[in-house]
Amino acid sequence: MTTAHPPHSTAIPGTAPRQIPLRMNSYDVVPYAPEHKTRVLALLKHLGRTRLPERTAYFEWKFERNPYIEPLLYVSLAGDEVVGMRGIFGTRWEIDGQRHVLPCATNLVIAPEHRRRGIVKQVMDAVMAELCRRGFPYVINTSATSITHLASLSLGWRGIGALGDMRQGTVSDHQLFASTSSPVRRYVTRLFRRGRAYAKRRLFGSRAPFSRFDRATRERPITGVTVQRTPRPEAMAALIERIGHDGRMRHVRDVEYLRWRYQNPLAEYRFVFREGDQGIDGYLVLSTKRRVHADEVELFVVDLEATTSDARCDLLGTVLGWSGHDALAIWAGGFDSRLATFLIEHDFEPTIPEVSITQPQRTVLVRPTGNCDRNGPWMMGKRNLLNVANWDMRMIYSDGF
Amino acid sequence: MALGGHHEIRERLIAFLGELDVAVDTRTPDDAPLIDSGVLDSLGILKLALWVEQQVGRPLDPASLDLPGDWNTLERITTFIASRIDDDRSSAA
Repeated sequence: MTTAHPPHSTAIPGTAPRQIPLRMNSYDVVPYAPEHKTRVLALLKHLGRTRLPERTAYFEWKFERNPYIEPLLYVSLAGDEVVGMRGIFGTRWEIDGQRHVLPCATNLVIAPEHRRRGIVKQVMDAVMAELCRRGFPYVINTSATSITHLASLSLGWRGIGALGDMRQGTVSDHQLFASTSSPVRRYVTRLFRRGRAYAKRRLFGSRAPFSRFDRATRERPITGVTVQRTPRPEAMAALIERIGHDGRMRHVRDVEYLRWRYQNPLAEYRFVFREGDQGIDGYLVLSTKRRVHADEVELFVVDLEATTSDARCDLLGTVLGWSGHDALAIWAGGFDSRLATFLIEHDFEPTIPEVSITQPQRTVLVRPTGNCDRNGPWMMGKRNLLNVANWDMRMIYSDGF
Repeated sequence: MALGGHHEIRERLIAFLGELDVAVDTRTPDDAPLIDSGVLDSLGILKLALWVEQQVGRPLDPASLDLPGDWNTLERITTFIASRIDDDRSSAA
């Protein structure tokens, strides 16, 4: 248990150099135990999930059913109240034929009335010490918000570089909205997008995320292609194994992982399979989320595998035909030239991440758990973790990066 | 907004941190740790980052930053800002 003490006065009269105080507080940081669960679930409402059953399902899936690491969280206590938490869930990666379990930091939450009291550093330090004690050399974070990103950088984390995506159809106003600093332009853009979303709903039907897509798959079926709401982990894992890979760092997508990953209760998926003579010879996984400011459906290709480049393009083309007026996005980078050409021919354009320390970055954050050289290199096998070219990133690793 | 000399940057920095209710003033030693000590917390760092970007007049690439190394003390933050402004002046010349 880490115990700190109440603040003390720092006012020193006179002209002597002022001794800077440690930011002390009166919180206890302790490892999570099942008796904290109810209070942790209450704290998770600050992540924007208002419904308790939703938070419970998410917590149990992410931490209690994770196949790689037992629930590993630290909580900050003010008396009996849980006022802060930092979670870790397990991920397994393969790189140049070697497999490694990497802890992934997630869900840094501080109750609003307890912010600015040093809890973030306290709880992150406690987690880091525990991971070091357990023998994990590195910890990663694939989904940091802007404030967590900056807090992490200040505590010695490093980003591997910006991860981009490619979007079809709506790049111009998306980028305008993302980049403009003018409140008037932002307001006009928002009005425009809401109007467009409303018009699409009136013209094309229901607001349910996959409603138009599902209707299209029923009305225009394609021979040899099937669509399901649940994965086929054995067939998918066998295909991935059959295809092999280039050695870059990527998730081990085996049966265990695929079965767990696609049970995420906060996400909805569609699995498009290309049937072959020996099981499937390709699959594409779609996810969806509403754009925050426009109430507009956007479909994400979160994973795509096939035995040949032509098969990958066929799958993508099929999904484009079904997605109709919904915007479609896919991660950027790592494509073969055939698929890259296909994307460009179908009006996909890369979104340009805004490079600024104050903007949320789509990146992977990495930190050694021990006291290794801050300037690196931070190696996993023979690969430098801080080089984005060493990562085979797909959206499924973090549900939209 | 471009600032002048090292001393002026330091004074403005202290004034800004004072507005954030960060416990520093003109008597704070140049080498006193701000991040390691927890004096500058995550929200403070975010606001400081916005302010530093304003001072140097352009966004900063997070991939090029070593926050614990570059921003842990008044001296280092001041030097960081001054060097970025100098870089811009050199490239403009």
